Amino acid sequence: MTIPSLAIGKAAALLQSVRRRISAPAVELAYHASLPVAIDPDLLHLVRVNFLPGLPYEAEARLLLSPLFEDLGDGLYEIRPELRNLLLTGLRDRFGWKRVRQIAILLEKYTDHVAVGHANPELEQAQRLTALGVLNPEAAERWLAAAATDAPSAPLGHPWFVAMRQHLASFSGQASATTLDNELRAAIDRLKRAHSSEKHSALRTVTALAALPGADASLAVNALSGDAHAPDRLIAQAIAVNMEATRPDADLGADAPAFFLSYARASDRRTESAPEIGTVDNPVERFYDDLCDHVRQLVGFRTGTLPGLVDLSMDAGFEWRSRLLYTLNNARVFVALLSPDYLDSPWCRTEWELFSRAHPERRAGAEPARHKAIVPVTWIPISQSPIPTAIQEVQLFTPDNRVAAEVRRDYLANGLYRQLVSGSPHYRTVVWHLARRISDLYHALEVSPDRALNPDQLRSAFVRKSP
Amino acid sequence: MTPPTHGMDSQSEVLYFFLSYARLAPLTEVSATPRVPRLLTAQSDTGSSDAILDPDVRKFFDDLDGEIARLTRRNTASGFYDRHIPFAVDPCDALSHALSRAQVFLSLHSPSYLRNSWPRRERNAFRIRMIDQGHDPDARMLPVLWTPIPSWTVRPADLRQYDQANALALDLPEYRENGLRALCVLRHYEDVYRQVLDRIAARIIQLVETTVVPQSQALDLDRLPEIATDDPSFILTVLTDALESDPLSPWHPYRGRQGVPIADYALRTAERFGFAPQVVDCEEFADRSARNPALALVDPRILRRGDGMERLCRFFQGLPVWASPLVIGDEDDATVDGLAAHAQEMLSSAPPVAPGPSPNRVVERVDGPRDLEQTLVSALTKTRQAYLRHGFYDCLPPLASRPRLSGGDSSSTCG
Repeated sequence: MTIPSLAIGKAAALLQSVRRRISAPAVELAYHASLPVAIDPDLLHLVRVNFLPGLPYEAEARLLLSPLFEDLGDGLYEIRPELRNLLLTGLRDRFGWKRVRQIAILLEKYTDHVAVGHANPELEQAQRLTALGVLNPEAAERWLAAAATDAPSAPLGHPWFVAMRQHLASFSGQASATTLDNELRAAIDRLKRAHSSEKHSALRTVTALAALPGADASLAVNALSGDAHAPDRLIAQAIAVNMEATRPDADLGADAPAFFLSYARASDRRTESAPEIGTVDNPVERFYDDLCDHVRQLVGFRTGTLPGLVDLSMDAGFEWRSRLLYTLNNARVFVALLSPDYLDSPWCRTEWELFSRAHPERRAGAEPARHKAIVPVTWIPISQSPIPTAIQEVQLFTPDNRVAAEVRRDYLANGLYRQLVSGSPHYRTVVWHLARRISDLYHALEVSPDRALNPDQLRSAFVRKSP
Repeated sequence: MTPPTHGMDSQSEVLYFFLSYARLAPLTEVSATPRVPRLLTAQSDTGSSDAILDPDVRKFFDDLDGEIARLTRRNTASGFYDRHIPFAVDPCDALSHALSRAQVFLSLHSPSYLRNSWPRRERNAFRIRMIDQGHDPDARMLPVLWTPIPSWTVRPADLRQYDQANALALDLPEYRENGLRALCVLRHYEDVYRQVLDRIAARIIQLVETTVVPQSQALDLDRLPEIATDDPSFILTVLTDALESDPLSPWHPYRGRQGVPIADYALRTAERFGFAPQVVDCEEFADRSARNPALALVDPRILRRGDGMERLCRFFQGLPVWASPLVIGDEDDATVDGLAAHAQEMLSSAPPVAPGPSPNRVVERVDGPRDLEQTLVSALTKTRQAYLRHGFYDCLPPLASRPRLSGGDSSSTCG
């Protein structure tokens, strides 16, 4: 048994129309809300907190006000009839029959709870019968048959019994061959046989079904990818994209900055209470902008996300410490602009030390990182000695051997600062290769929450190190 | 060079290629460009402002377009991308129309390209057209490696195109290691860039000279099967009369001069620039702005009515500072500047709802349909940056700190 194609088409169109309004987890809430004959906000709230506590509370209102529900008045909402069977199928496929029974128990208890003085006996009986139909189908059938015999004395009319028989029959269908996978197979079959005028509608049905939580989207991908020239390969590709997007490790474009830029001002007098503002070191800012532009292209950050953080962009205010702490804990790469001033700056040493404590680790499955997450860059060549041990232990950044020797020589001899201010043609090449190094590390490393710094460590470190 | 035309009368002109790429708004502030009187600026017939177009993509497009023109001796543009969207036409319609005419789909692959939903809409629209007309779409699609993509981050569905993009210049390691963008902008790689550019131009010309695919009915990009991979993360709303907001608001301030109602326009523009937007009503806007960047498009008429200004301020006063109004003005309405400034002043002087520093909420304004796209993209970017700056860090759960019974100083925690 499958849901009639017309109904599945309507259901798919409805789901398609709300895709931008509700998320996949909210669809799972809709699954749960499809069992009761009607639902009010209190019952939906109980369903969410009992079964989907991770969903935000506003998902309840968003769902009730979405086109998936019809407002019956008096605070009652009903799942659109064309959707109910599909959502019930999704509930059982995604969460199992046990979850259906748990919701039935909740429904029965809730009906008991609100039944005192209930003004709608038809609804009350329908909710009880629905719960019984799941928990004990035979008893539900017996009750229905007996009540129908006594109908003249009961407050339930003939249409009520017709509707309830259909409702209970849908549960027996649930227990049989109706599955999301079967619906998906049937939809794929219809798509393959569709005329061109029906193609878009059939495509929409397949994508909506394949995107439902609990559906085995690989069925569609495999079935539609088989023929190299089949028109349906497009949709197979779209479905595969959806499948991959739900991978738990699909974190491209996270909001945390990729790198933290640590640098020393010519006269570094930053204090813990407030970083300097309004005295921007232009070469550093220009370099930071250039580096950000490359890194965001390489990593794929969403528009508006800053790929790196530097205290140039930190406003004065209470949140700068939070931002510094967050960045030190979450940025995967620490870029240090080495100069003689850098070695003398207690602030820079502290940033270096703090980042070292929250050191990122290599991500499982990633290619081995060739370098550590601390990337010292020659900003101004350092001739003095001794260089601190912590810096000696980390390999200085240089463009790799595939870059022309003259570019490397110019960088090592003059440093990025001089390349920038003198307009050296090699400056942009070096910055590009540095961005690539950051991107490689970003993809290969992940931050470890076990090593995260806490605010006390940050505060005490700066108090100790401040001049 | 004459830009390609949008109207149906251009059927006789072959559109050699459609350039598909990930739109990224500039990192630095777009609106830093000083506003000057309209009469003093050259009026362009095309929509997208150069200020919000990626300069590297623009250079590559111009280079390729010029090379094809040189080889084919054409005096009109041979390709299409956002800069050619005619003013007063819905960008979605213009892109759909170009996709219904283009002979080759040239895509600039990068992590953002593979991630964003809009480029996939373009790609799928072209594929459907090729399939419907009996052509192998893969033969007409030319993927280019714009920036390097780690192979292990590529989704299975994108692997074929990823391989094709690499195969474009297997003999040029500089291309595979750096991608075409770096070759395009770094003088160091100029020679290699020219080699790859020549190959792309030659391949496009060869495909067009072999077979010309007839123009077909334009597929509405906005109605293609939904394949969004991100849950909405940028909240938009429209505030019209009486602050009653309708997510499907038909408010169309530039009717006759710009294609679609303002809510649709904002939604599509935000998606094109990779924001994962959602249009909601004002109640939901208020609820969700605490955890999302949020921008409200404001009808200036409500600011002129009775207590409209005060009501707007009361509405925003309870919202986080990154939730911003964008006043949608018009060229012939000189009062909008004053209204926006007044709103800014009132919002800034309102007492803060929470302790601590209260950064000013920025009230942006649009000067008219010509200004709409640039100001909207700028406002979207600034709003998201403000959210990341003022909200994202402070909304994070405490990192390694634990609750304390002693009630020690916790003013510096993230939580």
